[in-house]
Amino acid sequence: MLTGFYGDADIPAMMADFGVAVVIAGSPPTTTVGIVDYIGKDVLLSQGVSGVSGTEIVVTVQTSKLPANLKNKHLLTVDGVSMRLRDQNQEGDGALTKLLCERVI
Amino acid sequence: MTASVRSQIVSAAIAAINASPPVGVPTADDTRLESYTAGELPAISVFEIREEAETEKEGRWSYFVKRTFTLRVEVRIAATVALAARATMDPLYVWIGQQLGGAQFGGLAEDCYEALLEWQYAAEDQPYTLLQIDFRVLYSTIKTDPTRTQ
Repeated sequence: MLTGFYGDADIPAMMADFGVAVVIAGSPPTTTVGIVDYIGKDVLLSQGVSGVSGTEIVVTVQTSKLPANLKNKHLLTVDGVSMRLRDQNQEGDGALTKLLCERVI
Repeated sequence: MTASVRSQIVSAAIAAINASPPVGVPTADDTRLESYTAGELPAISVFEIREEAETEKEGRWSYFVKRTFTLRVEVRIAATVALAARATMDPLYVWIGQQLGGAQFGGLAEDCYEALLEWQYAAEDQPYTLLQIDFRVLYSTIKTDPTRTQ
């Protein structure tokens, strides 16, 4: 039967094709895989022009692989890049979560 | 053709900001329309916002127009946390305030002062901060000629 969303059991196969390593800091750290999207986004526009060419970093992961009570501002590594969690939003049936990240500079 | 007094004031303001700025203060742009990449920050842009005017009869040579012009200076920075944003922004703001506050731009204006400051923030691949500083510039021109001061 075709459903509207990926079920939890479908996700590992999807991640195996496109996923990169996601390591969420902790003791012990949580290691999983996620799909990363870098989406260009102009911010801080003034008079409709002259903003900053920012990039929205979205890491899609399997919700059941995330540690419980994961809070925003938590540190993680995505494909070897140090990031800080800005926000987390579940998608569809909740089997996937989009992690909005910023680089730690 | 001679530039209007307002145009001359904008040019003079940009020249003042760019006159031997301290280390870390970028060269100000004149009315930048393109977005800045993160690598171009910090950045300063200067442009006109609005002007109000009223006619006066007490002109020395003829009727004149008394003008209140809003000059906007925008500062954009990339910073990682709120405290760093404040620490990075403040020296830029101080320099701009020192260069433009009370300026008469070689006799073109009667006064120039900070009228409104607004901060905006954005969080994407890294945090960004925008400070808009609106300067009110008081000046006058001959009613029949915007290139000549009273």
